[in-house]
Amino acid sequence: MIHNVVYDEEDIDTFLELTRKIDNTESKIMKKLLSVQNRISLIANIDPQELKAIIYDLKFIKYDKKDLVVDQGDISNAIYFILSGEFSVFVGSHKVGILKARDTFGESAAIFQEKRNATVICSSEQATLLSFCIDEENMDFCAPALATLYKNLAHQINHKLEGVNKTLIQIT
Amino acid sequence: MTTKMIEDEIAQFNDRFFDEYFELVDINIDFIESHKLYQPKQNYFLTYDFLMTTIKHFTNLDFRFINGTFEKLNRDVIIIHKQYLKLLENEKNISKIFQEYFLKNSPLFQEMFKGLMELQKSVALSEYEQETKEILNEHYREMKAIYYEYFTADILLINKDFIATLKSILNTKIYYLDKLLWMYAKESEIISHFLRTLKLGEHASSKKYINYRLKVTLPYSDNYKYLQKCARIYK
Repeated sequence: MIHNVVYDEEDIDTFLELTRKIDNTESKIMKKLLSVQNRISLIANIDPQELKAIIYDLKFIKYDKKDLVVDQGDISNAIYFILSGEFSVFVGSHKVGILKARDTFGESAAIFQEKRNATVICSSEQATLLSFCIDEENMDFCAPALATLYKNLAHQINHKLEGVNKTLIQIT
Repeated sequence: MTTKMIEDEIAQFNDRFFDEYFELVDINIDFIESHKLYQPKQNYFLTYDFLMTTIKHFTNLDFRFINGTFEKLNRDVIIIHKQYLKLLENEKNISKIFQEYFLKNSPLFQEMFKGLMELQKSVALSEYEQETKEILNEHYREMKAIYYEYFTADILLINKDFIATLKSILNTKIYYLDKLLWMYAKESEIISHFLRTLKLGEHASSKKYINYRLKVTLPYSDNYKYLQKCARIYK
């Protein structure tokens, strides 16, 4: 016999009050994401209602200089959009690039569920990121969003490859 | 004996065996859905041990800390978690469940077992009785093997479903437990004082407390690795 806990009205009120607070926080951050949606190339042009359904764990995160954002080899499904500040990217101990405001990172590891292929560290005095995750389980119900997301991702990868090609041409 | 009969008998057993879990899941899903509780997609389930240790620690500081809704939710989460662990145990004990619960409650197997026992008891068996005993023995073993195959597949599937559902219920309840923990911690003068001495200030949270714990835990120990995993959830 499992003895279930019985909650009274006062307990229910506490739960409802907490839920209201959580919903308020969530919707505030979602509003912020929607206001910058088209600046984040990965999620640009996705219907806002569908975006709400496939995005979760939205957070604003503040970093100080030398703070670690992602560690190479780490498993995490968060995608980051830089609102302010600068971040250095390292592969092993080699610095391979700098990311600035309006840049996005972490999307490949998140979508392909792979380990992080680089370490990202805050290099400005202070920086702010918008972090979010994509709920693939909800993707079945939001097929157009999925299509746009992958199209955006392909576009982004293509853009990065073009950059690499240009660098290679310059070197050779 | 048809496949349908075997499946029906096993299904009836599973209905009885998981009876309490059906009720537990119904009550909890109804509670979460009817009150429209927030169901986080992050894995807060992972933070169970961290929260339990923190609650124990804070209760040692101030025994009045755990009361009201927080005390009820804490009890609720512990009860559900125990059931979750029992389900995990089931996965390792399918053979034992089959032997000790299913076979002992199956009229067919009980009847066969009784017949076999009677023949065993007989001191001098005629040639015909000896032959019957061997046939019955063989038949018993064969039936047991067939039933066991169906039984394992069925019980594992149901057990797995309950594990996933309880995990999801716990994820929501642990998320609320986390919120209530810090709400009640701030109401306790002793705990608030303790948190101020740690320089966690008025806005103490699991995130800040984990970061503090990481600083005082032996790096690369199991607990350190566990806290790091928790830190990623609150990041």
